[in-house]
Amino acid sequence: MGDGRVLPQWDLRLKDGMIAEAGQNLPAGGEEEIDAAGCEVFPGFIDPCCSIGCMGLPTSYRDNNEVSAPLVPEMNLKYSFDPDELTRQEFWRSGITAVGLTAANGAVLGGQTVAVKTPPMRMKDRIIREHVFLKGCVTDGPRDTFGGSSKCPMTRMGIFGLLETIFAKTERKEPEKRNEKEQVIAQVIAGELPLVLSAEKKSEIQAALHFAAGRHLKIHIVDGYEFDRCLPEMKACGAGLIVGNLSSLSQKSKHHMNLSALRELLSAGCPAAFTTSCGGFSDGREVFLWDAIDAYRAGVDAEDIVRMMTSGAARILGVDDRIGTLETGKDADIVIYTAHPVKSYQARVRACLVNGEVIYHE
Amino acid sequence: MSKLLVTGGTLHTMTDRGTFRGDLLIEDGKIAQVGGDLSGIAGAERIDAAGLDVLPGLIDAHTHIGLFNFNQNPGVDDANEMTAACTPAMDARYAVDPDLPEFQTCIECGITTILLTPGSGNVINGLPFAAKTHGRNIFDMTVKFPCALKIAFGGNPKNTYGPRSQEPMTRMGIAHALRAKLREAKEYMEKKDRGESVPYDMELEAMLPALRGEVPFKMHCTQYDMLTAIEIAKEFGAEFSLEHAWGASDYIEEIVESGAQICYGPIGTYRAPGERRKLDIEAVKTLDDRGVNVAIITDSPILSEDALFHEMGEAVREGLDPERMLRMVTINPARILKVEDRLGSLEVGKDGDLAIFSGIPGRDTAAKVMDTVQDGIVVYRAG
Repeated sequence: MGDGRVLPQWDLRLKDGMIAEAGQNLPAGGEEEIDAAGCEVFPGFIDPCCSIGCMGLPTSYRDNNEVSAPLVPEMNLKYSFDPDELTRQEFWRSGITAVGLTAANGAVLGGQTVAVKTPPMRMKDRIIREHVFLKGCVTDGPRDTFGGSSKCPMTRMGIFGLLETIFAKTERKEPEKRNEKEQVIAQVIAGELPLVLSAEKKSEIQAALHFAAGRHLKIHIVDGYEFDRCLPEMKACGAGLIVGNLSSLSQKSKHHMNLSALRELLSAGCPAAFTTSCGGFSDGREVFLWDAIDAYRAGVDAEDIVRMMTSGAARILGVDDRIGTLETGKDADIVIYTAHPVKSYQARVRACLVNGEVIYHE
Repeated sequence: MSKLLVTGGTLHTMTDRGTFRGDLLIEDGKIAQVGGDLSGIAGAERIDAAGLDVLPGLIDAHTHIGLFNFNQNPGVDDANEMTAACTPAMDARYAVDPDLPEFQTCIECGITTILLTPGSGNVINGLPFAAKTHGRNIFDMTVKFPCALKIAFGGNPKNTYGPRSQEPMTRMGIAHALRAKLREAKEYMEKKDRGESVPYDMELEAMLPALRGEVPFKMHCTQYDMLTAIEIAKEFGAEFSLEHAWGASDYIEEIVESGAQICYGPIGTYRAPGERRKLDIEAVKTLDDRGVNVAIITDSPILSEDALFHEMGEAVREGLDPERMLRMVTINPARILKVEDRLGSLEVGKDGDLAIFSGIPGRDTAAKVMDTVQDGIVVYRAG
């Protein structure tokens, strides 16, 4: 169901693109029927931190990396959304029906994520919600972007100096005097706009959480390859974790990562999810499921993992009122697998529905 | 005499004997007996493999482990000597840092042998070699040098020399530069064979093993570059493998007719126009059905070494039989490396390299290595 529950032999009734009813032995109502006997049915999977669909490929300047200044919180990823670039990935063939299009790691504050559906459709239907979170980065990304030309930030001190400055200025200004950037920061301070910071190493994660805790910000960490060494801080902030692509550039070897620590994070109630991206750069649709499988191999319960792939991601994106579970009233975004994809490589997507429409079937 | 006895496991021999339950004995680092009840053998260290699957140590036929180092920022590239379009004599062993954590990851994944190759920044890149993954000195870990002559087509060499306005700026330029160097080496070889005195040329010498058919051309190519690779390899009578081979499903007939071997991967990259337009892991099944020798590769650290299982899994998801899939990371790559006399199967006389799994990797997502054995020594045991 996306919330941890597994309900064998239940039926779903879909109407007008929504889930109308979930239950056992629902009477036929004259609708088209899909026989999913023997299959595993999930809410469509969600990657909350995707770069594909907003890069503007092929290109020398990526559309999700506005690095004309280190602080560009006012940027809206909606305007970089290339629907064809996203469509080309065929994310639905790996069961992924929604993604958060997110800024890369060049800027310290890179812009606001837009949540979209993966299959082609009219833009107004495809966009689930804009301004869902503010993405920033405290890794080497901004340092490599700006420091090389002797601009701030050259160091992690510089990164946090910039963050501290814009937050402190915003707090000290009358609301009507705030500029466009500060108006966005004010929303973060008010808890209306979560902050998602890319942090990989323990010291980066701890620094990000120290900054957020001092202001009681709603914060999530993306990439997070050393989260397992920051559990007390993560739990104290109620910070969410978006596990970066583990198959890219030896991340597990590099960080000596202990993925089984996800269990402790999840039992503390912290939201968690997976993403195709690593360091602000997404790979193909397959790696999303590979992350989930790595977590399963590390001993995390399969249904907790499904929760991360669905409702956990929806929570982080702030679209859990629309997607992420198979509950009445939610969008009919559904993936039907021949077997449990977290448990078996032989699992194939038999059908995928978005807004109640069959967009793919074997 | 040191003995290691593995009892009660399911032995995936990768030979005509197939897969069956039985015991396996390693003596002094070499496989001494395969199958039957060997429980009476005395004086052996024992591994109880009841309920477990015993595979030959896995082989990844295309990596850059230790040549690229992304464990720090900025990353280190010791894989590409991009100072001339053809650098055939570059010896990959000199680039490798054997202390990088990726070697330990290999051992933890049951991967006991890898091929390490120069990158693809040039047209002719250098000399790859095969090495065991556990050890402290890469020269001692080496199983075979050279293993191939590494050649690259497409975007990599173009994007190195194009910005410098040097050949090759184009695919035409790549074919041209490669042919010119191969002809030069062939003439050099023929002169030497006729007993003529020729000044020693280290670069041309490095190409002789491939031109003599002792090692294959290892040809980085995707999509339609495969056809150029096949044409030139055939022209010089070389054995060859097509590396990466994205888009192979569009060229099945050409590949089958050419006698090429395939090192397929990595997958998991995003789709984009150009070389990334078609990522077709399903091609490994089609090619295997047609009798082509196929290996699945990671290109590690580009794709993490531990993602080999995921790639194997995606091939199985596309309908490849799991036993055939296991051949693509054992005996098939051993043949491509031309080390099948030593590695790749559970046969008497071969190196005592084993990957003992709980579950079948690439079929069962939770499959885990319980023991990795290299040359008869347990080098990893699950904690």
